[in-house]
Parts: sequence; C-alpha cells; structure tokens
Amino acid sequence: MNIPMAVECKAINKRHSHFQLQDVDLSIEQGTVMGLVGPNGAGKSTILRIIMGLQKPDSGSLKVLGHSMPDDQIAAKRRIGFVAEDMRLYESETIGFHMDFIKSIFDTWDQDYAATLLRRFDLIKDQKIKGLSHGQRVKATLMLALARRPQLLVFDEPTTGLDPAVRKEVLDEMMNSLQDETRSILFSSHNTLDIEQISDYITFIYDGRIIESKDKESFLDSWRRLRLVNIDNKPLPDLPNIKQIQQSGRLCAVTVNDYDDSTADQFTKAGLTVENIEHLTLEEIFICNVQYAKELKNSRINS
Amino acid sequence: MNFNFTFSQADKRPMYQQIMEQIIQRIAVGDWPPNTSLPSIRQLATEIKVSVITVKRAYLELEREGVIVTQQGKGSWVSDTIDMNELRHEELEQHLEQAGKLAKSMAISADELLNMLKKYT
Amino acid sequence: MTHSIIPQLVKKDFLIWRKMIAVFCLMSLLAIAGLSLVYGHIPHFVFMNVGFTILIIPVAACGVALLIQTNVFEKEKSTQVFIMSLPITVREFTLAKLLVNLPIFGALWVGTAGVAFYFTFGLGLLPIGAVPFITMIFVGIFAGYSCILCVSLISQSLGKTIFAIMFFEAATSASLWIIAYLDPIRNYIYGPSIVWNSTALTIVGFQVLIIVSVIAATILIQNKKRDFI
Repeated sequence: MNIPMAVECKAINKRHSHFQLQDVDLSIEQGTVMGLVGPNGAGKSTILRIIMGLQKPDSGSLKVLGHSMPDDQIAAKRRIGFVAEDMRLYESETIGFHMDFIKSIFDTWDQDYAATLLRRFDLIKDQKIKGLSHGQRVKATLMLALARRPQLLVFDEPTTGLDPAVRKEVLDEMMNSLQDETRSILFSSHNTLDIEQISDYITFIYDGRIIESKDKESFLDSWRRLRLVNIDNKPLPDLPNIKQIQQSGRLCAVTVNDYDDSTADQFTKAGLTVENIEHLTLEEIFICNVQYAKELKNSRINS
Repeated sequence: MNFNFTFSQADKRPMYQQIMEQIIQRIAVGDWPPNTSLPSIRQLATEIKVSVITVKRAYLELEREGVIVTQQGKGSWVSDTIDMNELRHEELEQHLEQAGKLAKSMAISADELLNMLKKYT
Repeated sequence: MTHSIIPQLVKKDFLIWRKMIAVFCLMSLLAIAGLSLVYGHIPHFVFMNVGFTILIIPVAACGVALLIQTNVFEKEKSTQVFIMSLPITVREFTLAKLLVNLPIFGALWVGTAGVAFYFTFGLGLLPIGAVPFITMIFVGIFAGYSCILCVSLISQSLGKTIFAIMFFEAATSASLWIIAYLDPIRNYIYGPSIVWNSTALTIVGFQVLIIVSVIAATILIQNKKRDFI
C-alpha cells in the first residue's frame, strides 16, 4: 500500500549569512503528527518556512500535499494552516474582522467550528487584538488556522509562552483536528513534553542538519540509561552508541541510543554490573543529543 | 464517548504502558466485559490526546498478551477467552514489582518486606 | 479553486485604514473650503503659493502614511507572516499593495489637481499658458510618489522609506525648479495660449515613463525574491 505523503523534502540545502541547512530529508505520512525538536537556531523555523514556500531552497526538491514548492504554493496554501510564534494579527481590528477576512478567502471555512473554537478558547468575537493577552492571541491565530479545516497544519512553536492550561487547550485542539485521518500536523516546539505527547514521529535537528528522524515509539525506545557499578574500575567497552558517560567513584551512568539487549551484555562482559536500565524522557534525550552533537562539532573544529 | 483516561507525568513508565494498564483495569473491574468493542486507535488517541502511534503500540502489546483481539477492518474488542484471574494476577505482579523496587531503594530486606506485606493479608 | 485573492487583500487594507484615509480626505475638503473663504481677501500671489501648499499637504501625507502603514508596518509588525500564510505568492502580495496605494493616492491626486486647475485658471490667477507647467508639477508629484511607493514595497524598511521620502521630495522640487527655468517652458508660462512644445512633451513623457517603469520594476524585483519572510 502506498501511503500518500503530506510533506516530502529531499536533500534541501539553504544558506543564510550566519547559518546553513544541509541535506535535509523529511517525510511526513498523511494522517500523522511530526514533531521537530532542536535547540534555538538549529533551523526549525527555516525548515517550516521553506515548507510553506516562504523561502526558496538553494537546492533540493520539496512537495507539500502533492504540490511542488514554492512554485505551486498558492494551491498548497489553500490546504495548509500555518501558525508561527512571530505571526501577528492586526492590532486595531477585532477577532471577528479576521474571521470575516479568512472566511472570504477559504471556501473550506467552517463557521460552526469557528464558533465552537471561540467558545472553547474563551474568546469574544468583538474583542480587539490590541486588548488580548499573549495566550489569547495565540488561540485566536490558531482558531483562524483550524476553522478553515486544512489538510496540513504547520505550527512553529505554537505553545511557547503559554501557561499550562492554555497549552493543554491548544494541544487538545491539535489532536481533535486529527479525527479526520487524512489530516496531518507538522510542528516545532521547545517543549519536549508537547512533542512527546502528541507526535507520531520525531525529527531531531541540530546545527542545520537532521540528527535523527523516526517514529516516536522507536525513538524513545532506542535510548536507555544504564546504571552500572564498576567495582574493579574496569575500562568501559568502547561502543559507538554511547552518547554520554557520567562517572562518580564506582558508580557510573551510561546513556546509549540504538539500544538492544546485547548492549547490556557488552557491559557485563567487560566486568561491570548492570544495576538498572532506564527509559529516558524526550527532554533527557534532547539534552543528551545536544551535548553530544556539540562535543562532536567542537572536536571536528579542533582537529 | 468519554474514556477519562488519566495519566501521570510522575509515572516513569512509557506512555503506552500506562494506556495498557488503564485498559486492563477497565477489563479487570468488569467495565469492559469480554467482546466489548474497543474504540478505534485514532478515536482513542484524539480522545485522550495522545499520539496515534502510542495508542497503536498499546493495542499491539495488548493483542500480543491476548487481552484484546484485533482484526483488520473490523477493529478491536476484548478477548472472550480472557482469564480474569490471570489479568488480576498480572496487575498484582505489577504492584509487587513497584513495591520491591521501592523497598530495594530503601534498603529494606526481602524478609522485612514480607513481614510488612503480612499486615495486609 | 484558482481565483486570485488579490481583491480580498485590497479590501482588507482599505477596511483597516479607511478611517485614516477619511481623515485625510476631510483635511483636503477643509483646505479647499478654507481657500475658497480667503479668496479675494489676500493678494493673488500669496493665495497661489499658500493655496498650493495647503492643497498638496493632505494628499502627500495620505499617500506617505498609507504606504508606510500598508507596506512597511506589515513587515515590522509581523502581520506579513499571517498574510503570507494565505494562498498567495509575493506577486499577489505586491499587486495587492499597489492596488490599494495607487488608486487611493491617485483619487486624491486627481481631485486636488482638478481643484488646483480650477483655482489657477478658472479664477484667472495665471494665464492659460501655464497649463503645461502646472501639469508637469502634478505629474512630477505622482512620479516622486511612485518612487517612494516602490522603495517602501521593495525594502519594507522604515529607515529606507523615510530616506526615500526626503530624497524624492527634494528631487521632485529641484527638478520642477529646473524645469521652470528652462527657456522653452518659462517663455510660455505667462503666455495667452497653451503651447505643448517638444520640451514640454518630453518632460511629461519622461515623468510618465518614470511612473510606469518604477512600478514595472517593482513587480519584477518582487517576483525575483527568493525569501520573503
């Protein structure tokens, strides 16, 4: 069976004056949620903007909902709802003004759903944007994107700066839109909990490159922390998948990716006792990945 | 339909295991008797706001354990050959495992733990 | 599915700025009313100079305010990210901006030019020979405005736009002064008949060429932009 792709990036390169995206391959199956994780300046926003057709890559090919970008962006953007952290509405106008504006553009606009969202988000149509709090502004922007019933939602940091209650409302509505299994979501977030909760796939970006991109369950499953006791101070086995070693006397915590049962055996064979094997949260994986990538980059620069 | 699954961020287990536990509990207490249809994966995912792939994994593991039956195109339902006792047994074992781990971290010996347990039996 | 949303974009900017536009229109009407009241009570020479300035100020201010609000602040206030998420390319964005700014400035400009022509020639402040020169003043103002509009649209930067306003305003005034001192123009200003000699036609033709070419250049340059946000 051939699953249709919502997004297909192949070997995207894009050079900015201070930063560069390198050979980005990214595919998103229709009906799934892709979460982009990475530190500030890793290139998340640039990737999303390229996918929206707002920036043209220097090389590589890109299809969004079957349309090649940026050439076919008009047709593609009729079916995409884009919300970015730095997106603003017109201060002097009301929420209702923006609703009328979007409604006049999209024949897919669902007025009933818009009204439902207003109620759920505690927004009032006649409120001027000027008087809204940050959370209310994000919710208003989100409502405008969701009520046009897009096939693909592209959200750049949708939950940044929101309080936990509003964050939950936003995530809930993102998930609600997935009841239709042809809809897909691509979003970036600093908040690893958000990504961990609703993503089907996770892509980890560092310094303009994709470090890892796989389904969330395998992603989380592939990382483990082994708690070891090293009574005789034996050298640790030199495994390529060791990402971090924290030692304190005879106790040792080793973080690995690509974990399988043989990993623990390697340590046992080397004369260490495996006390415990733990799963990591996405946040812990995130931090470990960044540190490892940083060390790798520094050692490349130094050598 | 409202399933009211509650998850704890303090729970260190992966999310799919927490979903499995909640489903098993519903079966164990008799809320979901044998042959009850389970919500579709997407339906449950959007209802409890957890990614589709995680719910899918929970269903797969439950199927592997024989708790539910899944047929392509027909959905999933609670297995009718399910052994209630065995289910409860599994649940008990999970609790004991937690207790054992906790005791170990507090340096409580097995005998001590056994004595403590006797209070409740 | 392929209809363009340019009309919606134009309507949006018009609705947002309609109050501001109305205020400038009101200022224009007040200027005309004021001039009508003082006509005959002050010397003709003073009336002409003051009147011209008073008539032009609301038009120029409206044009400049509108292009700063719609073109520069769209980017500076990040509403552009919102607009560009809609089914448009830079081309539609640019055309919509031109279609909101040019007609509104154009309407005020035509109205003001009409009033100025009426005062100048209807009331006989100047002999009819000045028609070509007054025409050059108004077409020149439109040319200067077009240049500013295009800078604001291409750069979307407040600094560059303000520089363009100062530069093109000075350039327009300077060029009109030079034109006024050209013999083939000067010799006929106080004449009893309208003379469109080759110099006059060349100047107006050149002014029109500036208007057409900067607008065309803007569309071309915008189309070539690779990154828009």
